[in-house]
Amino acid sequence: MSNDDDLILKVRHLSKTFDKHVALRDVSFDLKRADTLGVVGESGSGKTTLARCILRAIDPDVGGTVEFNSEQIGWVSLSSLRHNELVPLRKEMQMVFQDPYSSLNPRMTVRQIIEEPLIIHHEGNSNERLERVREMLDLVQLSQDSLTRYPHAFSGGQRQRIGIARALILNPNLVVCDETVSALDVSVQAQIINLLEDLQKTLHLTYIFVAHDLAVVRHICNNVLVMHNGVVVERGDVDHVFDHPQRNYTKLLLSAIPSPDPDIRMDPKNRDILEQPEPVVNGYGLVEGPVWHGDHGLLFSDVIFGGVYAVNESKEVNPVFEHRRGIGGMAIHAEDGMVVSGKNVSFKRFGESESILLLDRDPDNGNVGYNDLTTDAAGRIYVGSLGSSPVFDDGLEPRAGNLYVIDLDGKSRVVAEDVQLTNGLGFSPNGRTLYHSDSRRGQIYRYEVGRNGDLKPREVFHEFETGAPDGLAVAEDGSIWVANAGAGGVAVLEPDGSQHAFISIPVPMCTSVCFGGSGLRTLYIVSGSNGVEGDRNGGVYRYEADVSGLPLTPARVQIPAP
Amino acid sequence: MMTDNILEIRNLGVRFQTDTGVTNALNDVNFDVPRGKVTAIVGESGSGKSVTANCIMRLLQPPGKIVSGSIQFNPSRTEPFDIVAIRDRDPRIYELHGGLISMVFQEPMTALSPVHRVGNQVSEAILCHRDVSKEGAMAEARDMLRRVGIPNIDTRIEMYPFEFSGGMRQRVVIAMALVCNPEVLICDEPTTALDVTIQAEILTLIKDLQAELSNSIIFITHDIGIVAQIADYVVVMYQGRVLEIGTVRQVLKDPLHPYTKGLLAAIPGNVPKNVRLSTIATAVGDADITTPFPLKSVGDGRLVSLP
Ligand SMILES: Nc1ncnc2c1ncn2[C@@H]1O[C@H](COP(=O)(O)OP(=O)(O)OP(=O)(O)O)[C@@H](O)[C@H]1O
Ligand SMILES: Nc1ncnc2c1ncn2[C@@H]1O[C@H](COP(=O)(O)OP(=O)(O)OP(=O)(O)O)[C@@H](O)[C@H]1O
Ligand SMILES: [Mg+2]
Ligand SMILES: [Mg+2]
Repeated sequence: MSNDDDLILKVRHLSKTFDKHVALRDVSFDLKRADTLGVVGESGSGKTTLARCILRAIDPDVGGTVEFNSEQIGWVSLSSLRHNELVPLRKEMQMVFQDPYSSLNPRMTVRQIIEEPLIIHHEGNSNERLERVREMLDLVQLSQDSLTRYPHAFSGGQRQRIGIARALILNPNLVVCDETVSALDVSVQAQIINLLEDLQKTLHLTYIFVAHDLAVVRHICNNVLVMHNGVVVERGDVDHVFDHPQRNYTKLLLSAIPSPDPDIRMDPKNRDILEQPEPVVNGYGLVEGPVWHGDHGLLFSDVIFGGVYAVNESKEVNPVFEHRRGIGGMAIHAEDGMVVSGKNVSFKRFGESESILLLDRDPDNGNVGYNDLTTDAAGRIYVGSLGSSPVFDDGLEPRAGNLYVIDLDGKSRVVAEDVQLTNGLGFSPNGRTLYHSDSRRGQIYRYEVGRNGDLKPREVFHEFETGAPDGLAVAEDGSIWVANAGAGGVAVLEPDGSQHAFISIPVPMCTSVCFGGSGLRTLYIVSGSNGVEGDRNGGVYRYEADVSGLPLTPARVQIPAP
Repeated sequence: MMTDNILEIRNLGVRFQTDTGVTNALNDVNFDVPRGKVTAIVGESGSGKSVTANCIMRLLQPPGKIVSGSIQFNPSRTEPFDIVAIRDRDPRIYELHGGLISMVFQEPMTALSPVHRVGNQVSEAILCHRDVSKEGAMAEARDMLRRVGIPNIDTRIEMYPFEFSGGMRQRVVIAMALVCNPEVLICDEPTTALDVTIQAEILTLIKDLQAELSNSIIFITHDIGIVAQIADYVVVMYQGRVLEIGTVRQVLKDPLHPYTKGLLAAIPGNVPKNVRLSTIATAVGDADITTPFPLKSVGDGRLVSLP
């Protein structure tokens, strides 16, 4: 890419698991040279873990990458280097720590402390090194007679200057400051912030600035990552994020800052806005095909035991119609009915029992049935066929399925091939992109939509490390909400493929999602049973999302005369 | 007649004599704590905030020594007295600690026993100070824990402090401090160790309880934001001296002392982005902030240490 030269860091899908605890989950971002990126979030949100993974002070989980634009050798993948290969690069990346007391060795003089990195990297002779140390003292505005003194003889702010001098003596390009000013009094804090800003200008430094003080971050950073439970929940221009927070967690965090103006009353938001999904109903084999209907409420099917049900906002369940098992996808049809997919794709009018065939099994293509479906803005139906697979125990050679479109005149055609296990489908807000889960490959594809609803060749949009992508829904802001089967929750992806949240449900088998409720702000999450087939503990959960879902156009394909 | 001030601190001086020399931790400290209000003491590290609180609680430890002054205490439940003047064995010290004044510290574990269940610790605090039955004390403890926002009381009272989050522990400490309905509650940086979201919860809790119980509160902090949100009155301290006293709006909106102005100018949240923060030193400039001018009245009830 041509504008890569402006960047100093490209972080992709960085995760870190300690024992079984996921401290960092799929973090991706770019950092421009000479920018200051703030990282904020509560204690334990993963800020330090992120910083340490970037600098390879600890090894991130396999799969994540950190690319660094080295001044010496250009782009290099930090995450795949061996530790000894990292050594020469360490000069370009340095860290300044929070605690000016414990991060300096009390038995070393200030000269020894600041000089040590030069010795480690075999730079200069004794005189040259002393000269550099003297320059650094000037740079951080410490007097030259500090050289022979020990850390205990300095105030907190002065010790922090010693730490900064040590970090900068190797002429790094990237400096990670982990809570560097947090322990300091405001006046000292102001001096250090000013110093960091001055040094940035003269030395062309890039900062990653980890801090829990949001006012400090707003003051010195251009961009910010907001972290919660190891996930970047929101990112962007710091002023924009702070003035127009989108995510509930960011709103909670910002609302908790006590303003120094007594006329601006603090109105902290209640933590309840972060609450876990609430159980709605339970007792089904495997819930699938959720779709919102203004009158009926949430419609869903039970793949194992059959039947289509509606649950309203008071959690009352009504059967909508009987149906044999195996409905994997549903959509509303404009003619007061539904399109359901299973062994075939058919139309059912509300209140009537008859099924009208729209798309039959396709033996030529070897498929055994259909799964998720969705509609585009014109009312066409997109539906994926299931190839034969060991999952279905049909004794056939495994074979991939296809993606079909049913046009308004009722005719169907294949628009994409080679789908191992077709699942969730959803269009972007402008309708020009179709997202499509392939559960077996663990990938979400991204198709550009051409004229007449044709699809261009796909690319892989996102790959899941744990569990598989299942049903999905798209929100107004373009974010993609994907049921992560096996991982027990919903991954929220940005249009650039990065994940910014993970909403957990108490069972691993999360099968699909859809937006509903007033303003389409409720995310309905459906699940399958934990155990073997025959269990009845699949159900429906709901969660107050911080965005509205995209409304789905009812299908308008022609219904053949019965 | 009861005065409007629950505490009146006059000419308080404290000295620490150590091997390395003498520190005058407090010099001629004067301020009032109005009854039923929140008075914030704000200042940088080492300015004497905690030493002041310890004097009020009669908790100052050697080598610290009160060398001058008085702390007139005007409780409504007993006769007024001077906290500095009473002797160590005076029964009023017991009353003071037994419920007239309570304190909440920065680190909740300093006030909690790690080996006793939370419910027992709170009810013990009641039993220590008041003549009630064990059952009565436990019932009151549960009530107070509920009021400070501990969920699932039945299971929580059986748990140990280490099973609580930092914010929950601080709630327990506040419950313990409040069970004896103290006339003065001193909070010394009670939220400094907590996340900003938890801090907001604790500040809201303290404000709500204060509105309900109308205790007098001394709130010690170095965070101007907290002062702005919680205080009715502000005492600004610097190097063991009081530089400025006024209502929260007077001091934060219209500071008179150059040091106070400097303190406010150094806060990132107060300064537009891209504008360099001023340090206190640059904001103070040539102004003399080290000479201990006595506080003088400048109208509207304001006091400031200026020539
Ligand atoms: N070495 C480790 N072993 C096990 N767990 C760890 C380790 N380091 C961090 N964690 C866990 O990972 C999570 C994230 O920790 P991290 O230190 O990154 O948080 P943080 O956002 O920097 O918090 P703080 O603001 O308190 O510094 C926490 O739950 C923490 O307990
Ligand atoms: N035990 C002690 N021995 C010697 N000097 C002490 C002792 N305790 C306090 N001091 C001195 O008294 C002065 C005031 O300290 P104090 O603890 O009241 O400060 P503070 O305003 O509470 O600061 P912080 O915000 O850091 O808590 C300081 O100069 C300190 O060095
Ligand atoms: Mg940290
Ligand atoms: Mg203190």
